Amino acid sequence: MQEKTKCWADQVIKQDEIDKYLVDGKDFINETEIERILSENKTNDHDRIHSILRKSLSIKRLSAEETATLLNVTDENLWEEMYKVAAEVKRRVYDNRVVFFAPLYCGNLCVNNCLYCGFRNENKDEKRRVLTMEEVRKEAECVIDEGHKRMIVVYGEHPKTDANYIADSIREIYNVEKKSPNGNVNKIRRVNINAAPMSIEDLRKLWEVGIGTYQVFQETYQRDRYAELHPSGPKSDYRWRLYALHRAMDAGIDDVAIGALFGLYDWKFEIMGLLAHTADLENQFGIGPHTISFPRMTPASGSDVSQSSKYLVSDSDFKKLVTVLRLSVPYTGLIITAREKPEVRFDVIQVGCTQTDASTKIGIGAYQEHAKNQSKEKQQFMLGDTRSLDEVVKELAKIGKITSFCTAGYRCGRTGDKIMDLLGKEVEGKFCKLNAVLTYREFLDDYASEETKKLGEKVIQKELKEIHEMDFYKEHNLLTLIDDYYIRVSDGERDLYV
Amino acid sequence: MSKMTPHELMDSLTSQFSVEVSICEVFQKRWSHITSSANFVCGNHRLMLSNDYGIMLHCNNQTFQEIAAYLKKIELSN
Repeated sequence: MQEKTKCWADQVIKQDEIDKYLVDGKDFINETEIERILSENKTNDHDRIHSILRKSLSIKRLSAEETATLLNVTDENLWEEMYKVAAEVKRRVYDNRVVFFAPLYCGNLCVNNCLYCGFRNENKDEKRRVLTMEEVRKEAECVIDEGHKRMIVVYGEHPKTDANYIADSIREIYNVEKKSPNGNVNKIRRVNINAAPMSIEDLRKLWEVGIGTYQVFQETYQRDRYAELHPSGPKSDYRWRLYALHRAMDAGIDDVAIGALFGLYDWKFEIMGLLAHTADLENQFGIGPHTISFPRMTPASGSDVSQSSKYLVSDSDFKKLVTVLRLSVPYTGLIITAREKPEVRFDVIQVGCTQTDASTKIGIGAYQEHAKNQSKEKQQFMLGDTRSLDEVVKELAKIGKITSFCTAGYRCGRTGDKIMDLLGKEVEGKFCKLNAVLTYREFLDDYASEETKKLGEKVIQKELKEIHEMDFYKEHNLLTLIDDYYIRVSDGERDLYV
Repeated sequence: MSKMTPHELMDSLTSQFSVEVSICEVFQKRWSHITSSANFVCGNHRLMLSNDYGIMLHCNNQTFQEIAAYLKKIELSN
């Protein structure tokens, strides 16, 4: 690593921006306590499980003990019940829709050395590159051409992709306009980012340019394993990362997203860690995470850990962990990505995932290159699902699910504690339903294949019928508004939302 | 021009015009919630109050025009 880059990395961590969040000098991950709760809450007692499931259905966060109880269920019949309740919880909070986004990787230079990651500093096989703003713009145009409205932009931790670069790229993406084949002008309406932990001062720069959600994954909540896997760079500081989103809250960013990389350590421990993280954000700021992600480790260039970890999670356990997350934090969005194979995605979307991606390319500059094959040397990991957005939308339409490109919430003041309140009261889902219909109409008219359009029409008519029959929309005088918006969108007007 | 905080403005609009109101701080596309009236669900009208603040209202067009005229006399303060 160059001396200048090393100096930059050395000044990243601000100890006082860790210490201010500690309680009596301690952080919120009490490993002994997590292990104790996991070992003491083992039962297949139906009454106990049913009582916990009733709490989930009332859209209340479960306690650590209740979550551990669900994690330890061994009766497969009970699991079948849990899958059904998880699906019902998702329907109550978010309705029948799945929100879509596209990832955009801006650079793979990184000062860290995470043993499971293709971008790690010491991986000599990786072809390094940072996109210029012109290239960022072209990538965004390609993503818009697929029909996307929402992006998650990903950056390595490096002075060339620092907070100023990130702010510039967000601004650049928001400014891109692209016409669909039928001449309607479309834009990216929400830019979320996945970037390294930063100081409050740097986070304010992202806030000022209109960031959507700020996402930082802890990777693993288990300290020793964390230290083993992150031997150098700012990321080797467990607590700097643990409090990244607390600092974001202090910088004004009230949409934050947590996650763990499953396969690094015991999956039940990681679920407990995610729950503790959620609880601490709620305790300190009154606002929990907007979404939780649970990427499962897949092979990465030059990384033995990514292929040989003893904690790799099976497909059946993966479905269970998603189910418990849905039940444990009923009001939080859950993201399943194209890391997973189509059949796994299909399975876990049914038990409560709310967001996913499609037409995904994660190589640096891969959208412009129209890369058909994945390139291990340019990617952080390998994808399990490379289907186009149109194909995935069609697949969901076949099972009656509506695809949503909604980005309304953060443009209507439904952020932070406001959205938490609406989610808990099962009101946000009503907006999700309306905005799903409007954005689905846009997609079907602007980008869908004839086959998808045909299937989609049935879905949209069913949704409109349900909207007209639901008391909520009548009581709040929203039917006239939605009918007006639907006609205008059908006539080619774009970006109407409630 | 009279100066009002977002909370004062919300109280003033709900009492004078009997409308549901939400006031937000605006960062580019993001409208970040500051305050809203008790029964606010969503707005059918939105208006920038300054470079930094925006307001959403649920009301008919005539009331919206009256409120828009009223808002011209208000300066929002922190």
